[in-house]
Amino acid sequence: MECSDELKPLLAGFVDGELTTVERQAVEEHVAQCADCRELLDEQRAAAEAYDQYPIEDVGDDDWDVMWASLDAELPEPTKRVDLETLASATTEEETESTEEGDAPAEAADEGDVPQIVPGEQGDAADEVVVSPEAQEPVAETEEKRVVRLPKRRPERPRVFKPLRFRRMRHTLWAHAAGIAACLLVAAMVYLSARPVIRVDDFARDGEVVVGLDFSESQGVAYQVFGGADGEGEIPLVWIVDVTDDGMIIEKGIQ
Amino acid sequence: MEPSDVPNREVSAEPGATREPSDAMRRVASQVGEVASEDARLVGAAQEGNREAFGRLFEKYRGTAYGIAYRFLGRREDALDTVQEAFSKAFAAIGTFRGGASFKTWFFRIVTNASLDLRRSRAVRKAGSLDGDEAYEPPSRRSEAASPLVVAERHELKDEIEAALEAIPETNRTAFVLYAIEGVSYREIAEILNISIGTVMSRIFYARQKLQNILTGKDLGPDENLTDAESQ
Repeated sequence: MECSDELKPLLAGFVDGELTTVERQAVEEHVAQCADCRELLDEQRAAAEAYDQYPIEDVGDDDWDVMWASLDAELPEPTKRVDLETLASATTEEETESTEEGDAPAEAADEGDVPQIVPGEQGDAADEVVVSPEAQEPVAETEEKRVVRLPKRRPERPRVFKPLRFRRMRHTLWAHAAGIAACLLVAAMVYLSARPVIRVDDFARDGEVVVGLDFSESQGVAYQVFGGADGEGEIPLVWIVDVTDDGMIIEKGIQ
Repeated sequence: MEPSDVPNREVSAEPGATREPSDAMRRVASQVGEVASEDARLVGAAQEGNREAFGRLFEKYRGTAYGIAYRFLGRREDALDTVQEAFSKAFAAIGTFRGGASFKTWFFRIVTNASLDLRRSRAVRKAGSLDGDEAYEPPSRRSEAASPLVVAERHELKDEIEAALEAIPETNRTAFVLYAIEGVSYREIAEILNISIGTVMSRIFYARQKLQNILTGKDLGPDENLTDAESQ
């Protein structure tokens, strides 16, 4: 591997152990023969070690606890789930207690007439007993309990499926339209994503091209200098997206 | 402007897609896979509202996030504010996280952007201050138990490095700072910054070269063209 602008960035990868096996061997062979690159390699190591000395102030557990308390307060409340069996048994126990106290409700002997807990339709207050409409025996109200009688439920009807010829046809038309729109969208994206590849050599050399990267503009921007070597005038020309062997993949225009 | 990209180097949109991995890279890849699996479980639980999962993610990444923010901002309080802001944003948006990238790189991108935003707004405020009344706030010394001489040396080194970093273009500096964070690889930096691994390598190379030249006195200032590519 020759000493070139291609090789030099690999020295950083070599220092950091981020090269492939082939790249590492190539760098090792070259550095063994090139004093300039050996010096660059030493500079890379020195810079890395210098920055490793950058002191960072510690943060105590108290600070993290305060931060977590603030973050925790922003988190949404988890959804609570009611154990229906527990709720049902608890309601039954309450009814038994009220019976023992006298003025007992006229509980039917049959099990089927015992006030049923209807899942999901609990009384609004803790002192209410929800009674299903199927209960035959009247449930007398007591001082402690107020009976809430649910409206009768309509029997569930079987779902009737109407002839769907027209509806199915309408759905098919919508599906076709959506498919065509999706194809057009993909085609548009492919067209728009085609980016011209411009070889680096297409730009004039000899000080007339300055490549600068401004992270605040999201990606790289290449500036073409007009006015010759004195650098008169800089106009943002392209937006560097990627670098390949064929050159820079760019998008024209200011981003 | 300084050249900072690798010219004419084969890279692909998918980091590592065309690179033959070394043994070290394979080991890292397996470790990354394990971390990604744990994070996927935690994120899934957090998306279902599991508070413990949120807490676990906070404990796992708060230290590294603070390191990133501190290296960009240089101040403890600013770094803590940025970390809290980043976690708040990440937790609020976790329902939209689809797992295309790893949670780690997704979250570190949020931290990086928040740090850079605060840094830029500080620069704007400083530039707009007419009276120059922004007093310098010395870093908190609460946690430093070393002798005053050591503390002074540390601050001098810190100031020296920060001054040198100011002269490095932001794109190069960002990649360089991120790599200094323990546990962040070239591949992860590429994902965070949405660039290729080759570009990461190039930016780090030129940032280090600039830093070293400044620290050793070879560089005369931020306008100096230092790299070999530019000097030719």
